[in-house]
Amino acid sequence: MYYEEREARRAARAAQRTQAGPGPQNNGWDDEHYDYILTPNEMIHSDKYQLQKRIGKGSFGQVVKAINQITKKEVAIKIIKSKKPFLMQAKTEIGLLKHLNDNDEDDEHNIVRLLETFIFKNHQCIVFEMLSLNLYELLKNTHFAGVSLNLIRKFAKQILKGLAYLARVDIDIIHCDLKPENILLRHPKRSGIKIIDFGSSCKSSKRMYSYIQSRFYRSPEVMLGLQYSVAIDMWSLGCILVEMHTGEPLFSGTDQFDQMQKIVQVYLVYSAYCLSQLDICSLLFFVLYYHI
Amino acid sequence: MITRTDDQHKNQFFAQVDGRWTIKQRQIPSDESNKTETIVPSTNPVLSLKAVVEQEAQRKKKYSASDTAHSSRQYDLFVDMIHNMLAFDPKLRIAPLDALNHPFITNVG
Repeated sequence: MYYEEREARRAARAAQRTQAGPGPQNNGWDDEHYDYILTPNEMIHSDKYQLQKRIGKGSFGQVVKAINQITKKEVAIKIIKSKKPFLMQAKTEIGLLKHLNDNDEDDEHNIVRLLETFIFKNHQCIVFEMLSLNLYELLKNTHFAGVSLNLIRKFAKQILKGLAYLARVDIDIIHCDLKPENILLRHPKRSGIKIIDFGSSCKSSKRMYSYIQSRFYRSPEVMLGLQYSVAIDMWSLGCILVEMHTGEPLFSGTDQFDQMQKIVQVYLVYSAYCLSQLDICSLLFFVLYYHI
Repeated sequence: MITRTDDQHKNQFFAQVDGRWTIKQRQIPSDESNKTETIVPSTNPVLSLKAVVEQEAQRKKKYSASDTAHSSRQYDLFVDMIHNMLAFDPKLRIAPLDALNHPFITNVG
């Protein structure tokens, strides 16, 4: 049912897009949201890439499937909106991706590969290797029945390797938006995955925003406005793995308040730091300790 | 953790009753009966998490009862790993390298 809502919202947005008139922005190249208006088969970047079709959409802009005319290989090009805040954010993303790829020459940490970047008609373009389904689409293909623990083990192992890499002292990057949509299969029939979308990510020493993570996968410390660390990605992973098995989001809050209620309802850890009815003594101790 | 956060964030979710913090109850203005949905914090996270995972899987009839019994150890390990990943306090949350050594992940059978 949550998925139905999600799908409905998507459909509504898609309908809005098709109503958009031709090119009111950026010399007529863009729609009203500063998204580049695609012409199928258009050649860009000195005829190196032939644009095919849109395969993704976000607040940042769009992702377009394209063919590299030299290698004949498919690539995914992220075409960022032609507005300065999005450009600045994209620069940050590129910096992080380069850092991640440069320290991972053998491509063994399950992080998406950045192939190249360029500017096209005032749009920052980021070229990525082409990947397959995301885990949300995979779940949809099971009609939300979920996948086996054996497959989940394979996914978990690879994502954990990625998170271990991100958490390394010399890398130290928080993904900040781990969710099924941002974990992609490498091939439709195999279990290899990659982590994508570092568009909200940051170095843990340079945290920029307090309002981060998609709600279902948002960690308690982010909801409470506390300092956060790479541990917020582990929270998201826990939520994702359960969802992959049951087919439903573990904590599907309709808003942030509801989200916290759902977490506390199903799940409350007996540590001195949280409210547990089992643990009133240690909680009282904690409260007193910090108030004296 | 709740004490550390600022008032605005705290009061959004929790209320102080008799000197201790508890989850705020949602007020649902229902049309006829004045029922309010009571949010009871779980007293046993491992059990409630296990219940969610197993009930959902079984409800969808994905696995027969014998199948579930067969892999009950796998379920226990899975729930234990999730429990460690979802520690409310980030300091107690499992680190990626430790998770890679968790029996659920290392177990190949």
